[in-house]
Amino acid sequence: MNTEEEVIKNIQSGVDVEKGFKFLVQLYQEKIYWHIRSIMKSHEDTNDVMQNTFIKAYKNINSFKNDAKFYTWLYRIATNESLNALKKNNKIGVVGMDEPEGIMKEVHSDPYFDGDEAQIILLQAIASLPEKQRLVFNMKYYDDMSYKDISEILNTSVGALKASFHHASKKIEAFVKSMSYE
Amino acid sequence: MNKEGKYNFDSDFDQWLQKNNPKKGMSVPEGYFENFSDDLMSKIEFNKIDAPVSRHLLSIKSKYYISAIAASIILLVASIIFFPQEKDNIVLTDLAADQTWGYVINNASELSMEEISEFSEIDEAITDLEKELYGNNISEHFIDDQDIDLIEEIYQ
Repeated sequence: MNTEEEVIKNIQSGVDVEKGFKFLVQLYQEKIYWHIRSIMKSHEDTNDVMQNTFIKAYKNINSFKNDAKFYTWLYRIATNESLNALKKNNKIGVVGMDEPEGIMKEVHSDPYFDGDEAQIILLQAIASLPEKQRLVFNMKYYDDMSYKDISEILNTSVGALKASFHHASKKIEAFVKSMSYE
Repeated sequence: MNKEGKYNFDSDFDQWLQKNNPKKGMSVPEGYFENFSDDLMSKIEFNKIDAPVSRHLLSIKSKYYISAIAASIILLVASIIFFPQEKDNIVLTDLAADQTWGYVINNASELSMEEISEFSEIDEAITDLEKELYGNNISEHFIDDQDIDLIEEIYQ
């Protein structure tokens, strides 16, 4: 079995392109899916962004150099595609999924979400965060990524990420407490 | 939740977060991951991989576009304030590509942001920038050189 590095080099050289790219998709599809879902919330939107992410990764794979991790490169594309999709949704009048009130509407219309009240409050709390803090919190807490990898994806220093995560955690705690004691 | 319908935070908040991980309430259609790669493969044109572009040249090109966009916006604002004029009936999309940047700069006061965004080279500038962003050896100095807020504003 070829290693991931060999597969990527082969694709870049035009060898076994389809087979190789399918291997990469299957290797990372679940991780990328859940990362995108944590931003987009609904399955339908996640599926659209996921397809765009892999298509863009394929079209730009010659820009990838093997001295970096492929999955952090993919995460960066997925993150950018998700944020762009959110902005486009906001532009065409869909209630923002990056706003607490948009979350309620979105999760209730998503047949692939059956979370309880506490989970919805937590989603709203995360949605109330500024964009960068929201991304850092999701990647650290729910994707269980290292600060080093998040740093590569968001192009931010580890120190700044730790500060963002700390602020995000405090804001979420305050939001959840305010909701539960209303 | 306790009897009064309140959440109990006497326990560790981290535990509460893990227990209520929203992903636990999320699911995917049956067979989604099994079929995803096949569905995706049918949508990719496998002969179309973008050739790598010289990063140095690309950076210069991107900077040219960004600088031109920035200059246009500054001129637009300044002209509106200092030189109010009547608008000519020229449609940007009707102009030849090499005329458009010059037109934008020279007639900034008469153009709305919507009209500037109709300018076809905006897409090209964004595509170039996208290639830069998706290049794996992206460096902090490149990002620092770009006015991301401006790019996002135009992109929207």
